[in-house]
Amino acid sequence: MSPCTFDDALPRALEQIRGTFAGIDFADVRFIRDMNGRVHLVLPDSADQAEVVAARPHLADALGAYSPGSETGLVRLSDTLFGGALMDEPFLVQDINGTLIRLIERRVVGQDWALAPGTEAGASVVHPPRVSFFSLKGGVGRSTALFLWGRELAAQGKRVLLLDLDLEAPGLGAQLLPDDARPEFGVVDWLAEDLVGSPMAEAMLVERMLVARSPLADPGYLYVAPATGKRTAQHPAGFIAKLARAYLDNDRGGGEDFAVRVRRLLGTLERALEPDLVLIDSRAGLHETAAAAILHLDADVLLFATDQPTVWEGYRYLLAQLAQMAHIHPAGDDDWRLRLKMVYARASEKQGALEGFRSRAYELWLDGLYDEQPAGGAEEAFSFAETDDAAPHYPLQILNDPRFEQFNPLEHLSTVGAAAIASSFGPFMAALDERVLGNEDLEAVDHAD
Amino acid sequence: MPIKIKDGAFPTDQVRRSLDELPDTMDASTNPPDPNDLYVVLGHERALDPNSTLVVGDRGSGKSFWSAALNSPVSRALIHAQLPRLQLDRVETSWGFSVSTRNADHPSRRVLQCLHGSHAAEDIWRAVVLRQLTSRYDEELPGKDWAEIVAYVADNPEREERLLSRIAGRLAADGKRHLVIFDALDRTGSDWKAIRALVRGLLQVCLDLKGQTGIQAKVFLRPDMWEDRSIWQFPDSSKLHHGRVILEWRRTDLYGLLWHWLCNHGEGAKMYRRWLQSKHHLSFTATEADGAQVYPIPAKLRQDEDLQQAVLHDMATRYMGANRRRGRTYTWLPNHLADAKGQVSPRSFLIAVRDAQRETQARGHGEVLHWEGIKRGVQSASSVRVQELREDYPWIQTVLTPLNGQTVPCRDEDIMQRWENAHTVQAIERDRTVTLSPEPFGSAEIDDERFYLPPHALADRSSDTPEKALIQELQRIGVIRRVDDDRVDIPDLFRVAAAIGRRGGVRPIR
Repeated sequence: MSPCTFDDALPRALEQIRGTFAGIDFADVRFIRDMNGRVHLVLPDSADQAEVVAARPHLADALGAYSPGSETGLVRLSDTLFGGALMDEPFLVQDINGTLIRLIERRVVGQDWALAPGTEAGASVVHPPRVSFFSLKGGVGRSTALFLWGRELAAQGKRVLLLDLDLEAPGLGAQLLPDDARPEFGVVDWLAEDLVGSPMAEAMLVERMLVARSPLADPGYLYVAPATGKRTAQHPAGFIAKLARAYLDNDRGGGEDFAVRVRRLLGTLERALEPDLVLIDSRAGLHETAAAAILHLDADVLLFATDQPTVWEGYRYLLAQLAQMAHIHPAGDDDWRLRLKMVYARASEKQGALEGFRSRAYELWLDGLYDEQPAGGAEEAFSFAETDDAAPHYPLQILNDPRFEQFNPLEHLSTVGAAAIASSFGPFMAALDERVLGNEDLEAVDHAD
Repeated sequence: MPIKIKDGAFPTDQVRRSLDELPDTMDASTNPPDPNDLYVVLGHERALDPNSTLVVGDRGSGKSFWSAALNSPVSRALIHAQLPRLQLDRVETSWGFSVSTRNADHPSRRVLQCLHGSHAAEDIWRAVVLRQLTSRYDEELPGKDWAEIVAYVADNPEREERLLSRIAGRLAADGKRHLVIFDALDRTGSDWKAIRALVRGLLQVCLDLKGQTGIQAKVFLRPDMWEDRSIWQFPDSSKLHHGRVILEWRRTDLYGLLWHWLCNHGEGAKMYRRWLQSKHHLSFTATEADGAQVYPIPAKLRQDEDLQQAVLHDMATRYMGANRRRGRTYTWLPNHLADAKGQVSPRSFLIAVRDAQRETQARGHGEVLHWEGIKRGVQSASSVRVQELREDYPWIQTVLTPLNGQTVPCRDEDIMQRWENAHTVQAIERDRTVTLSPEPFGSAEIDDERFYLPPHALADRSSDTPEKALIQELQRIGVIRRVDDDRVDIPDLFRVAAAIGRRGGVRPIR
């Protein structure tokens, strides 16, 4: 047998178990992938101990470097440290050649990618609508779209909070706040202070040292919580060092990971500022921290994409990860997948361009996150036709316009006319108004003269 | 801002009853439509224009309906009142061909078949046109039977042309026009070979008439026939071919049809109009037609999407679920009734709304149309649509049944394999020969005993396998859509009724 690779480990483990324990119900089996990627197997207590012992060396052989050792690699539930509690741990579901296996992922950081949305503690806390803006790469107009929509809403009298979670490549602060209008601190500072339980973390939020109003939406309320503030500008040498601490779990309670900490930050800001809406600029790419913005902030998630093979490849990885959380949740109006929506960014006006994008997005979602819909029935399956404009794969569209390349609002906003904004971003913003806020056109209701 | 209602609440019961009374089927017939049922579709203006010779429409898009409407003076007057630009008040009409076997204006299929044995198709249709004109405009034509008249036209081309110009000149001098309407051309023969030859001849005559002021032809054609290259093999055919008008129903047209029904049907119509007046400030002016009052709906309600949505929201849930991300009812409904070409048949739209109402009421919801009911309504409309299609494409069920259990999108080969296993092509051929043998009774007024026409593409394929030709045919009639070069998808409209599944990456465990 060829040496076992990461990708081989789970299928080989499954193969071994199926061969030895015929008729075993895989709903009772847990596959555990440890921090190094080695695979442990936990069988129900009904498995015969003698058979378990006999199977161990074969399993260890098959897994090679991915076996944690023949003794610990295969045990019955009662013989584990966790005992029955293991069965209550959240798991992912992987489809291996038609068999659904339950996989417990143990990771050093980034547990957020392994937890289904809505399973977090305190997930049901009431908060204003939140929208995460995610893209695989920079330069697709994600932050521009976020700012323009936020500004539009502020102009309509809404209170809007923009939160920069693109910590590695901070942008919102520099783009929307003149240097002298920056707040003292930024999100990175808060995360660093919070890690050590500094009282400063609390003070930043209460005394509004983390947010400032952008003059670009004056007189409206457009709050910006940038990644960094004046302090970091004064001490630039500390930024990367702070960043390294930003993603770590703190030791508050049982320990909070990045998503939990950001959720606490967000909740506190929301109580202090009472925004009508929060827009979150997520980090680009499939970084560990993007999991928070995509999965754990109880937000609508906009998935920005240009029509390029590399982009589709990245989204294939993302959806394949999310798919492992989709099996366990009943499809319904509360299905978290309904909160995801593709955005065709820098869209071409060419004939068939939208259809081409839509078709590629559809393929992606069919293979990734849509439920299989058997012939006849399964009305409640989470599945859509390609042409269904309510479907997550059916993109909102932002037409490409060179005027928005390298767009820096502080410099360029005054020269780009409202007409250019409306023609590129208008339909996108109108669709979001309805999707997120439930706003229909006022016209549609009022036909009195 | 919501408007305060002055004149009481929404007439829920009346609207429910009115929707409940939407009829099941619309039979193809030559009877003029009930003036109350005549909704003048703004998007069909070009199709109704006497200058448009060729009108192409799918099954159920209104070919026979408009043929009959144009042939009725009452309907013509109603159309004229709403589309005065077409000047239909100056137009007289007659039937060049129809579903009727007893129409004195034209020969029946059997007579056509007999005539075609000894005469060119072109001469037959010239004779049909000439006889209608002579009998209406005080001219004499030797002979009584079709055979004699056709023979006369064939033997005396000069006299025929003179006669035609004389009538045309007189009509033109009076500022009038005569329009000869041809419908149901798939009933002119018992196989594609005969039909093609007759239609080709007719189109040649139409092209000739285009040069004639005062006399015009209008031909309603199925899309598969329009796309058939062999009927266009005559000089200058492109002039007709490219000038065709497609009978399509835009979203606004479908909703317009619905409001027209609610504003004109039954006891509740008056209350509903009053509601629209008080809530949406829409006013109605009655048109007199055949002693009855018809209330055409205001132009704004026909074409303004925002207004149409507001009017829909009076009676329906705004979104297709408790979560607004499920989509807007206004767009969802036509979207889910669309075939692979994006077309919705008005009949299936109305049936969907009717059954949505029934289901909503059965579930005890307060709205007239609740999203749960609408989903059910769309399902029943899908079987209505398959039945509609079967009228034109009798083989449709034979082709869909073997796909039961398939999941889409899938490769062409998956579909073709299923047909091969089920011997589908042979089944179609068998049905064709079986249905061909008995001569239908000539007594029925409507030629319902139609011949079994196999898929058009099967009758005229060059190199492809018959299964490949079938896929192309299904694509042409909007039952499947091509996703890319080697895969196909089937819209929900047909997929659900045919028990075809949809692929997915997630198998839910509950």
